[in-house]
Amino acid sequence: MNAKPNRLGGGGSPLLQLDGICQTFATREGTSIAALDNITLDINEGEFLAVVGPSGSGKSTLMRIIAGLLTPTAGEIRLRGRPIHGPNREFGIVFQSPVLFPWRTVLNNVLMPARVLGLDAKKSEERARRLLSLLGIEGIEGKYPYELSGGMQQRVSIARSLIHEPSSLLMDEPFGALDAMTRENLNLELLKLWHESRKTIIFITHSIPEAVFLATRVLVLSARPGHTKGIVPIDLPYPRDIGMLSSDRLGVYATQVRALMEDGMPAPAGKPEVLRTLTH
Amino acid sequence: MERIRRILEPAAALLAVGIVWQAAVVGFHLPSYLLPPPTAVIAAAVQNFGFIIKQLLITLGSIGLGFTGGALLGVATAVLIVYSPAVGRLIYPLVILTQSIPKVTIAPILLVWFGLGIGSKLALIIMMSYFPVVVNTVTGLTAVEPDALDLLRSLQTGRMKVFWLLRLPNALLSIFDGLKMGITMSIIGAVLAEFIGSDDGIGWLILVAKTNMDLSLSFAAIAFVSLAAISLFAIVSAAQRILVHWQRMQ
Repeated sequence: MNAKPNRLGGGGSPLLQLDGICQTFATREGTSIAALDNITLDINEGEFLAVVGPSGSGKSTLMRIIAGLLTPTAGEIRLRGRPIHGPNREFGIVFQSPVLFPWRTVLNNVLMPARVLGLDAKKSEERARRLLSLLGIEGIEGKYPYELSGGMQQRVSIARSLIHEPSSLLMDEPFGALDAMTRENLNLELLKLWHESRKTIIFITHSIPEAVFLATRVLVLSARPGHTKGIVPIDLPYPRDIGMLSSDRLGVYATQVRALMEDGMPAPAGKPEVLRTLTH
Repeated sequence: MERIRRILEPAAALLAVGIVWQAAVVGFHLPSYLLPPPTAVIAAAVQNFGFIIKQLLITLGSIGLGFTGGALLGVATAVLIVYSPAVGRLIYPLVILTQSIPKVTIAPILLVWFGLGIGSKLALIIMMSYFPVVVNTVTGLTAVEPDALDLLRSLQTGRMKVFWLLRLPNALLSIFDGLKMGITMSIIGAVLAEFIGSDDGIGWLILVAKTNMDLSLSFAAIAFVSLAAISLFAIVSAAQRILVHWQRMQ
């Protein structure tokens, strides 16, 4: 399928092709900072790709480029073979903060993209209710965001990202601000959602256990400028349950990812990073 | 219970001030052309009730007109500043600069330009209410979460839709803060205009009563204008609480 055999990709047909993506930012002083360096990668239809890397590895920049919110300094992204220029309706985005509009009810928040895109109101509403119940939060349609917990708000935000039936979900550390319990629950919900919707998910996180637990493949980025340290396929069966978080097989993958991430990095002084438990 | 206490306590304090005031006037034999006792003020208010209300309504009428004008102009200017950076760079420093001029000092000049009566009065009220609305609306329209803008951008939302969906509702709290300042300034502007160049209105009445050594009537008029000022502020605050209901819990 691929002309270049050295491309990093799984089986199946690539939905997204990243080709030599580079990003540099100009600083106030007039110098430039390289954020991403030559990222080349195929992302397959229906896969769950987690992206990990140290702070400043350009994970969020990569997501913004894929979303079309940022034009890369060099390189090209193709969606089903066609180059992407600018934002695209094929993506649903979930940010670290829920970014709900406080003046809109839950239902109207979920429906917001449908309204913007001018989708059929009735069908969208049915779909919104279905999504909310799929995420385990039916019955809160009329509530306002301030009445919800952080975890519930993020579920609403996930429902909103899916309302216009995008082919892919881009998630930028979506559970990073939640407590450990809520985070585990949402990890399971997300896997269920992925299983039922068969969306392609690109999931940015700085938790290695989370990445390994969720993903079919983990892309490891280096420190700034972010370049591909490697891709670890996670050959664990789905459905995955929370018990696997502490399993040996998951631990092996996590160690592998961590080794890639820390390879070439200065050892974290005094910080027992390597000893961090796999169960958060 | 808590509500009743919140009303009763200040009312009791007010009553106490009234009693001390009355006692002082009677005790020190102060002449009523210097300081009329509260009872005389109340008597003057009752006696001239119709006339005071008539003058107050004239003042409130011009406040209603001027404040609405100032607020609309203020919001419009702010939208222009935010949506046209070139115009914004040109206007906004001017707005800030003119805002720092004490408007009171321009009042006599406005009199020259707009003449006695409603013209100069409206001009002053509009000026007084305009600036706080501009500044607060600009703040509200620009203080938008970058992620929320990205979200809308990812859906290829047009500028107009971004304004109605995000920027305007997001600015509402701030706009109302500006309006609350604006309404307070409007009252000051109206009374001031009536002091210097008017032949009606509550400010004119306060001045005329003073000239006639009828301080009881002046005090009565002041009491009414204070009550009106509190009510106007309360109305704008109530509108804010109702329209920006989601902000209460944040």
